[in-house]
Amino acid sequence: MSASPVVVVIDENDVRAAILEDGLREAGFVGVTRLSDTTNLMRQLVSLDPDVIIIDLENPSRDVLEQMFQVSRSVSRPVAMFVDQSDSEMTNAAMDAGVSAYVVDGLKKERVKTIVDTAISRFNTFSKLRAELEEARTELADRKVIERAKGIMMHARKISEDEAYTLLRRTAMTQKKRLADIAQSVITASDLLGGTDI
Amino acid sequence: MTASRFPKVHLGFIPLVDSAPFIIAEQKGFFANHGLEVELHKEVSWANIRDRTIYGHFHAAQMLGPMPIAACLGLGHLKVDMIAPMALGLGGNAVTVSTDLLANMRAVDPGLSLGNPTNVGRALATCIAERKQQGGDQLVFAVVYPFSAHNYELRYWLAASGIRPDHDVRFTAVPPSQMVAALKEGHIDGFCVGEPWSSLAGQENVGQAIISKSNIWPGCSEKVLGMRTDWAEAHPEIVDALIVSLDAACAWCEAPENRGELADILSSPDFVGTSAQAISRSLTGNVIEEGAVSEAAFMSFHADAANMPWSGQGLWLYSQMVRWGHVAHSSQGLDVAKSVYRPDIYARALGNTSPILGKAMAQEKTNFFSGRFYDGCSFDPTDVEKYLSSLEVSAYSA
Repeated sequence: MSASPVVVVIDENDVRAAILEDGLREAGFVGVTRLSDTTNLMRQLVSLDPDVIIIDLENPSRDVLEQMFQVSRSVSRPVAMFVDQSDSEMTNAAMDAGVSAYVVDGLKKERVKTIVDTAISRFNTFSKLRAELEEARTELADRKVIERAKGIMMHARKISEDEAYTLLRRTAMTQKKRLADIAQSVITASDLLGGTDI
Repeated sequence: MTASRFPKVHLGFIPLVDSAPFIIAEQKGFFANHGLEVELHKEVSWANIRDRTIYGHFHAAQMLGPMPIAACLGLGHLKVDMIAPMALGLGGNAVTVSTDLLANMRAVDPGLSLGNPTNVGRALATCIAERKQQGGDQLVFAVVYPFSAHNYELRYWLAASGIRPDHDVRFTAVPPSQMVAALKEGHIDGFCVGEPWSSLAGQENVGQAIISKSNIWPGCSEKVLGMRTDWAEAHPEIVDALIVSLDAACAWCEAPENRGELADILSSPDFVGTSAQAISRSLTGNVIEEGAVSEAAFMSFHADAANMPWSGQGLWLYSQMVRWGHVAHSSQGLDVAKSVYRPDIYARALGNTSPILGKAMAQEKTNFFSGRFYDGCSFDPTDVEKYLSSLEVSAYSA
């Protein structure tokens, strides 16, 4: 096949879809269409006539594709999912990444592999980014909680900021809890006791 | 409660009313009572259930009756041997049509008798013929997955009504959670799906359930406990413990005094996540409000030997796969299909002296295969080829 295959990406997540589209274009696949609206999906796909469909595993529309490819006569050419016994390892990697692919029969295996590999790596990139973002958010939230707890302690016990921090840390260590959790319990206790917040 | 005797078991389910046995076994401690530590995983698609079971993310899962058969035959995916050593109930589906289509049906038959498949089927056939004459669009019916009892019972009923599936009506697939919206927006004219989606369509005045699965054939397989054969063979004690605890959960779900609590539990966003009111409607069998639900209950979790996975039920599903061209018939395929539903394992788990089994055996002839199809037909599991040849509307030719 010389022309670039038509690739459809079905993903409701804008950021992840954009990352994947970029990856596919970088790999030389120019005919990439992304569908975010899965209403009347079968009709949309019949008109796009894709060679490869990439779909995220959290999308309930996967079963629509199964119907379309396995049983329905609404697609004019034979289509098969990209899974035969030899592709087991890749399918497993795709599932771990949270993505699945459906591919037209007869498309060159190497091209399919490139597309699926790209999907797997971009989905993994996205998960990593999201985990990092989540971590950064937690860190920021933790820091705010600790600051507030320190303020309450400084005010209530007339101690310095360093002393308040040392006390929090020591308590966290002896109770085997996270510093932020101890700080949160200081805030909660202060709220319950009607303490003035600083 | 006994401590867990076995490694943790991961089970997949789809948020539907008939996932209740899994949820209740976990919530009410039936798994724990039998030494099991189970983690439930809510999934969004049947394809995910299949794949995660194949690749070992799940040890077992709630599956549509035809799914393990399709897996053994290698339809739509890898060929992987699976078994169904327990059924999770009977009934629980309905065919729902849009309010527009219902109005058309009432126009051709003012005395339309909901819950009566012969009567309703005749009215639908007339509507379809009129539509064709007037050059209207073909009606579109949705199911949730190709290898589902929904698909096969809907096709069975249409064919018995003189309507040729794929010729006179089109089929599409829509995820269960989008069914009501698809009906409302006119993308589909009807659907056949598990509860609570028919009840919700009725509650929102978008559609009306016209017949139930039990109106068509009360013995038809619905959801099963499915698993890889190699896993089941390597862990017979876990399989037995799963069956015994799920059987106890099914008995709990069946008890009328528990239905209110069951509806509340299922309505949690962790599980089905729709209103308890809609769920109650299906649990009490009031899905087709004005229609009689015939002599068979709309759904049963445990009554009528509902949990016995008759190999004949699997064979009927196989016959329908052949009938609609989803698989080519072969004696080899028939043998494969025969070995998927495993009443022997269900019996082994419950102990061969269980009163349920004696009752189940007695039910087999009367309740399941002979003369219980609404159109008067019988299915003889010992002669599938003869049955296939007897079907008028069919993609099969002997």
